[in-house]
Amino acid sequence: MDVDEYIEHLVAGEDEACLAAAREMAEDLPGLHRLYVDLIQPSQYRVGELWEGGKVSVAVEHLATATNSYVAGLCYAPLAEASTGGPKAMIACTPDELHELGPRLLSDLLECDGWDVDFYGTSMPLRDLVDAVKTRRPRFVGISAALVMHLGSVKRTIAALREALGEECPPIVVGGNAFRGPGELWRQVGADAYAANASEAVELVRRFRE
Amino acid sequence: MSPIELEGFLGESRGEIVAASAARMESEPGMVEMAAQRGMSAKEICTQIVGFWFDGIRSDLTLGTTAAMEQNMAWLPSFRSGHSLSFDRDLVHRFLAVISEEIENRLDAAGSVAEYREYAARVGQLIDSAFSVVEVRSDGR
Repeated sequence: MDVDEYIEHLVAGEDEACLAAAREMAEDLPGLHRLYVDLIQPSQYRVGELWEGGKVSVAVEHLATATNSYVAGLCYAPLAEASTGGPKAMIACTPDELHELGPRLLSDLLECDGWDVDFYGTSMPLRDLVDAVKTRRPRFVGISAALVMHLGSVKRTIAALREALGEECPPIVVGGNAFRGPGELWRQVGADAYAANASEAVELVRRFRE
Repeated sequence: MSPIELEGFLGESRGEIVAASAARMESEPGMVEMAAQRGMSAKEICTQIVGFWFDGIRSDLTLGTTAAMEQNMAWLPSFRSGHSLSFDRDLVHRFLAVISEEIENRLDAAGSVAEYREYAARVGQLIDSAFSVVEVRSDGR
């Protein structure tokens, strides 16, 4: 099923059709990567554009996100690895960020790649994030932002981590829809690296494993 | 004021700037009309719009870019036509002017005000560019 057909099912609320297509695609780990990057991620962006153009309601947009979350969870579960002994990764959203599907997909793929992931979901309070990084000592911190208006908050978060941890601050990788625009916005927020999608991020952070 | 200090300052002032700006905008005829179109109160819709804009401005000032407002203006034409909204260039400029006044009134350092005005002038140009597209599309040319 191509992304256009998948979106038709998604906006129609046909979650079982979406799940059937996803299961067919995600029979193994490379398939799960393709599902996340080639179907779920672009469908999320397209549904956002459909809302912007008045073609779908906010309710449909929420339904589509919930369906993608449901589909991803069911397709990930059979391939999930219990990786408690792996290197620690920390994935979070900034205090005002309410979109969690993207970083959750990344957390899934990292777990499958042997990382022991702490995923903090939406709206992580800044002070608590700093404390968690100090305590949990991850090999890297991933920060996600869906909206450009949250980039200031990403910059403040990164500055706070660097100030609190000094030379012991782990590498900080950013991603999410907010960084898709022209220019290298990831540099302007003070990050060490940027990945355009979850698969790319998994490749990129392998350098931080040792 | 450093960009990070400015970000923190605007974060602390968010509630009062948004409330004051929305209160000034809610009696604008264009907003009353749009509120009726959307089935919302003028206060509610003004608070949403001002909050959205304020967060974009705050992010831009922290990064030293106009990236957030560029993105807002990039989707304004499709949002306006897709949702059959009637706002025009003057109303959008009025939003910028009101929010800017409320921000400037709270920036006590002259240097910060000058920097803010330079940024607001660039956002004004982005509004004009966005509405050139809207107006060309409305004419069908």
